[in-house]
Amino acid sequence: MAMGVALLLTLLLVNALLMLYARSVLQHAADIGARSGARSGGTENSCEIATAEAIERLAALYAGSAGVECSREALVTSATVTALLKPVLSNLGPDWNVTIRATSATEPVP
Amino acid sequence: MIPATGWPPSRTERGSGAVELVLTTALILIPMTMLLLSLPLMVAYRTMGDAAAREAVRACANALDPSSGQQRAESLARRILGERGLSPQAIEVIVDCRAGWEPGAVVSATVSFRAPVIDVVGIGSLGTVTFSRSYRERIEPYRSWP
Repeated sequence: MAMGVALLLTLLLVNALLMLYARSVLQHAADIGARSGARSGGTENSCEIATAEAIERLAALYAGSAGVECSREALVTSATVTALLKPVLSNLGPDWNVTIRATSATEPVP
Repeated sequence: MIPATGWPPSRTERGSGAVELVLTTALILIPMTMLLLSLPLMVAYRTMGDAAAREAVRACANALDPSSGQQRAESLARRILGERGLSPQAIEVIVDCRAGWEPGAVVSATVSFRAPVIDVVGIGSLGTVTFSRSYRERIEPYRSWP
């Protein structure tokens, strides 16, 4: 009984840590995309491509399902990533729907 | 010689397993779990502080004049920390954009904020820790705009 409870707790803990790790990787990808789009001459398209590439390299599991959207304004460029994080084993816990935003200062065009 | 079947538990030992399970869970398992779950949060806080300070100093270094740079840097740092879930009351931004602002000079930004040590979605948070991150950047010495 005690061993079963301990194993279940360990699995839940590993699952939570992996989900937090996946979220931080997606945040990093959004940061890269926003910085890429904020460069002088950057575009919303270049932001979305950079974000998608970073997700594919760092978290390939979510490359197909993650949604990426960028907006570039005069002062700031933003990247938004939406993804559905799944547990390590099905039925171990609920899916986690995350929305991650990153913002970067847009470089002025001289 | 000790009999293989062992002795029956005495009257005073009955139920001790259940008590041990409860005590172990309350005193060891739950605190350990909370501690382990707080580690990725600490890394996330550090990362968001880095992002806010880095972007604040970039906004200052790329501004057309020190006043607009100062304002833009502060609002950008607050926006970045706010969109990552921090309350505005917990954020303090110190940007040194006006002092010595000229091409070739170095500007700096420091972002400090208070964040919960343990934050469980839907349950609540526990404790507070203060993070402080700084960045410096040189203003382009040969920039072609003022």
